[in-house]
Amino acid sequence: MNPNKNILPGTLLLTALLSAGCEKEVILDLPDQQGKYLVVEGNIDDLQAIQWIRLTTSSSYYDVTAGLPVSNASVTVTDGTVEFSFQESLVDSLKGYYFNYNISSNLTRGMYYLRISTGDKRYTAQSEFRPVPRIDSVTAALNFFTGMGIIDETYYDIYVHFRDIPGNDNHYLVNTYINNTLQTFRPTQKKLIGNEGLFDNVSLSVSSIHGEDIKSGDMLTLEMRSISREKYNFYTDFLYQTRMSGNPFAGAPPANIPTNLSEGAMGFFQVSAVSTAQARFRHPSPDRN
Amino acid sequence: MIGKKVFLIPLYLLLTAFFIPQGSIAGEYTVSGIVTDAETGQILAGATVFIPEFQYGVITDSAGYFKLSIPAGEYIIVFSFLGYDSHEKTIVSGSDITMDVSLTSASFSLNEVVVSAQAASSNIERSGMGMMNVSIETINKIPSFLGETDVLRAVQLLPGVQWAGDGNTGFFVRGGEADQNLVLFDDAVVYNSSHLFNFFSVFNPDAVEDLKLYKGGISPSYGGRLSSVLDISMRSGNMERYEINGGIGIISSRLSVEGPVRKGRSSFMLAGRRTYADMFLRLSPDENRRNTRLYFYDLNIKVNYVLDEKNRIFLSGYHGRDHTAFSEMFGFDWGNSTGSLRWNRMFTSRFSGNFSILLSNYQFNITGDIGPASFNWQSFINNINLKTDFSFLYNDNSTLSFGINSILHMLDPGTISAGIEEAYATEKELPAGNALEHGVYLNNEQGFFDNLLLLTYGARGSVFQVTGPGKQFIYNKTDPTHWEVINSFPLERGKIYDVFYGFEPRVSLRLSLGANSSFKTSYNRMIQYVQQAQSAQSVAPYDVWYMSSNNIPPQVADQVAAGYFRNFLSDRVEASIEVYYKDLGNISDVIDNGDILGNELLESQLRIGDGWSYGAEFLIRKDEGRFTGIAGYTWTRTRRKIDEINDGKPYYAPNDRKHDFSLYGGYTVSGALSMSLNFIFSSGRAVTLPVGKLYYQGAFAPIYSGRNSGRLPDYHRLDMSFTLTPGRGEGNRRFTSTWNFSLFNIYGRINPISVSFAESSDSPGIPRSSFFYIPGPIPGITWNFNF
Repeated sequence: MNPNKNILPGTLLLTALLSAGCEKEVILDLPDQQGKYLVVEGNIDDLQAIQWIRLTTSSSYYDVTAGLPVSNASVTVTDGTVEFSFQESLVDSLKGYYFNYNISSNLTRGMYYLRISTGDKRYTAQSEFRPVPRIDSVTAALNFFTGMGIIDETYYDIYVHFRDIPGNDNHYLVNTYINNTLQTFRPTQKKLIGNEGLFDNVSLSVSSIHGEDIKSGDMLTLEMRSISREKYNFYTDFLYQTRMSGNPFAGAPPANIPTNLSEGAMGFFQVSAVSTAQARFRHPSPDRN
Repeated sequence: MIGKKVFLIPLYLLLTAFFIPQGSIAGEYTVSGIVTDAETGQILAGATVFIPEFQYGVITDSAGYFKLSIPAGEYIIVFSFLGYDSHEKTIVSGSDITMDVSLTSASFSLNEVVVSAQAASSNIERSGMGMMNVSIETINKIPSFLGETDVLRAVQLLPGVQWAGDGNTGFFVRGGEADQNLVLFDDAVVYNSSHLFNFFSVFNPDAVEDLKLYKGGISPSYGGRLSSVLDISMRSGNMERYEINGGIGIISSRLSVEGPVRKGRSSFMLAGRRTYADMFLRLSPDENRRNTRLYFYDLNIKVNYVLDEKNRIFLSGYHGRDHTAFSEMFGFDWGNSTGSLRWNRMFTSRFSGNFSILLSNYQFNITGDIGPASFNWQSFINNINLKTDFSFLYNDNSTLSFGINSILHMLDPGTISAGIEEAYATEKELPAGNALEHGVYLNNEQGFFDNLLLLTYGARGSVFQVTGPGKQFIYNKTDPTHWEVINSFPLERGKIYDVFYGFEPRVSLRLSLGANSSFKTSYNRMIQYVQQAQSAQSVAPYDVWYMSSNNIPPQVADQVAAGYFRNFLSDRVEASIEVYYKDLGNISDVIDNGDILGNELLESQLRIGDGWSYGAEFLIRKDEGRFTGIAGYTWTRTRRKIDEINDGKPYYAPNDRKHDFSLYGGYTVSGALSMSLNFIFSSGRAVTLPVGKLYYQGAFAPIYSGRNSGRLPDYHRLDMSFTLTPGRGEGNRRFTSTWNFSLFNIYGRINPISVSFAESSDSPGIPRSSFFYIPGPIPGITWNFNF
């Protein structure tokens, strides 16, 4: 597997070097290939009844808006025997979103294939639906840096506890919700769990919540999704390419984030099993748990 | 895999004994001796010894030793060395002659600071091309960064040499990577030549005697790197009197002491320097700043002992460390150590040898004491090199040199201890690598038609043996983007596994076109077995070295070059045009999204392919008189082609820069005042720029179209310095001091070190791009003293 990238030393060194150097915001004359690439955001799971796949186009780098929606596409997902059709929303604000209402309850272990037709172009991707372990419990603890007085602000670390499924290629993603509001929407906020060196009994910090964003009695929900090794790499490379961009301590050159889509499309298609667990938040003691 | 016993050392001793001839050759007469500094007695390596009548000369070796073969008769021999007055001697040969010659420093004799006395026409006469040297006097005059004189910045002024950018002492030679330069300090390899994130080099100018850069026509005595050899000699110390040199600058101070241990027989040199920004930080009321460390130091030592007229021993060492730490949470230390022990023996007037033991070490240590994210990473690379070189003057036109060496490489990428999460294993051991590298070479310099034609030809044979302890991996390489490990096995100590053989022919030809001009051409094959995984843009001091293995073949470079050399104004101005083409085989690059830091499967992140570079270099330099200068222009292109990168299409190397121009000019206004200017222009280097962006789950990421298909803005900069020498010319004062005032990047040009594409921290989701750069102008003041 692709090991988690070591970005911490580089980030800290850059911080040190920045104290000696300067940073200047610039606008560069970049080659513009607006609309050239199809971007697919497809995360299908067995939790929600409504599943969607979003199609957009790539945009100019300096364009402050997201890519334009891709309408009138044909979007299907199949396991080889049953085909699930995704229909584009008729609501203007949801253009480019393609919905399906029955795939979620029909997911079974195995390979799923995405097919997209737009104009005269065809794109495909495939993803394996793999199981996810049951979450045993959710706990919270005062953040280490807060507890040590290293940072002035109060943060709480949220922990997931589970027993891993036997296997050598297990990868998971954990989302955190407070009162059913997703706190880790962006790719760089999600907690990734790779199987390298993972113990059978796992206790991991999955997110740090600012003290002003949570109070006693709030409902904490953790959502753990099975993902492929490629999706795991997608997120780690997303983090690396967006956080280490231009860092003179970076070892590897800038590159496109990997994808499992064909024909030069970007983004990722993933089919996941999901397990969830909830707990009421109580202000923890300085000792964890 | 069949293991073999290591029987290298007996073989080494056997070959060494075999090559030592026991008697002298009758027939022609020899003139031999040692060239030294008249004032200090220090040996002068690289001095030219020239017989005008034959249009033939030699260069003194690292022990200052020379030998020439001449027929019976009366001749004038001219001795010269950069920064010294030329010296002529008339000899009448009828027997072998031993003569030691002392040259007088030009600055001393003229009683003013003048960079002068370039070896008269040596650039025209020698067969080797692509060799350049810069005197320490010139280096001291080049406007410096923060007042810190830097040896490597002088190298970067030479045509064919490109530098990595501001705050970076790395350099690239004729399309090569930084790790393809063999940097030697008294023959010992220096793995990382930088201090403080590449702002300064490890070479303390007080400890440097001489430097020579070979970018082509490289002697087969050198091996192990593809692109160039930077051979730096440490000062051996004043044999006649004690001397103290030093300097106090705004960020560091230096002090060196040298003198005789036994007058005329032995000398020593001790030099050290240290930056002291951290000492001022300790006075800060802010606790975090008080706990910040950011300094480096280095120490040089050399002892030179003349046993008798035929035997000399040199012992030298270097040790340097950089220490950084922030708020007691994060620390980063790295540094080099080298050691050299050399015995120089003149067996006969025609036959001499050098026997060396050389040690090199580079290591780094990163520690983070930051709670759940604590980690520690220690890594090192060492080598031990046993080396023997012989030189045999077998007639008046021919010198045969040969030698053998064996290197034991020991690479320990280290163990990473991490407390990142309680659920994970807390230690990752990166596989060690060990190898033996042996080289044997033969080189002959032969003159024809009264040395009108000078042919130097030879070859180097090399063997690289992968041995244990270590670990090897077998990959399934079916998917070019992802090599899957299918097996791994440990390498046992003392057993030899993969073996690579190399044959490296080297040929140089010089055709004299009269007293002032010559045409030269050369062919070189170079092989590199130990290399570094690091992108060229990176200034990180955590070098990741790796060796040839079952997955990584040795790199090979074939270079052809030709040049026209001409001197003007009685050899006071030299000019040259050189063109070259270099073919690179088995070069490696990091795959898209590759991870080379702390990755035990480092090899799986690299792909192998080809590269090529070609260019033309123009040089005019004047090293003598009140006005001195170096002007160089390089036009070059460097590309790579690796099937698994950039869709298999050729792409520019990161260090590709079409135009590179540098101009240095120094002018001595009076005995007490001199000034110098330095201007550099180069095309922007190749970088990977976005052509758009994608949105995914509310965040954007750049989209790139091709590796290194974009360019940073052109680089240019003007620097200036003044050197004031109070009391210059007022008698023969023992104590002298100079004030050096420098201004780096006078017009404050923003020359980006790197460009970043990331969302605005103030406005998440808004794309932005920014340059990281060193602001200018940057002043520097240094007070130097000598007594």
